[in-house]
Amino acid sequence: MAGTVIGAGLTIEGDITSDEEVVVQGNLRGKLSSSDAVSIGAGSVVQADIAGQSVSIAGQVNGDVTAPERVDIQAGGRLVGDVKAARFTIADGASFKGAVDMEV
Amino acid sequence: MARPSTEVSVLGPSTRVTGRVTGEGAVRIEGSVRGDLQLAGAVEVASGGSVEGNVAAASLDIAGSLLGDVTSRGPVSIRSGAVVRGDLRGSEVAIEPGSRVSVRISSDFDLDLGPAAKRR
Repeated sequence: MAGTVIGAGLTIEGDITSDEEVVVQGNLRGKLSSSDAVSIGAGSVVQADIAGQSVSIAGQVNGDVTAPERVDIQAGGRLVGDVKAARFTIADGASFKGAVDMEV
Repeated sequence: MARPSTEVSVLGPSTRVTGRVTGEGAVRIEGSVRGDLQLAGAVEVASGGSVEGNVAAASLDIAGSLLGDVTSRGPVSIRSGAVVRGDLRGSEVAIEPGSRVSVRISSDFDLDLGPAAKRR
């Protein structure tokens, strides 16, 4: 069970910072930053820069994504924004528009 | 991860939110929220959790700290150990011993004074 769950019916406008796993199923406008894993669930709409240890995207994200470990866009996920991560995958069926920086 | 059957959002103990929280469903706050909460469901401020802002919800259960005005369509429960300051509006308000409370309470209900009062 994740430490923080933003449920499907919930909208947060503002900044979220955390030291635990964050799962977003709802809507978020602002900024999200966690020192643990972040996952953006299918059906969620996020307009925010996201920073996490690793970030998994199955919903819609508008914003830059930064993760020291990895960023994964799942099938059906959509990301418009720049990615900065050591590892980056885009699944078949995902969409992505932006720049990638793998710190090489 | 097994999803709970009911739609419950949880803001964990290390999670800090600055901004507005709105929507359906219930929310359990173990961390801190600085901003207003406007929710169709129940709000729970767990022990160790804190809210600095106004809260509108179906019901409210406070074991942590709350600084702000509350409008609740259902009951407001202030648990032992809770710290609450602000105006409370609820269908009913329960305050447990061991809580520190500085509030103004407006609770809407019909006061039945019995037949003697009605005769006058």
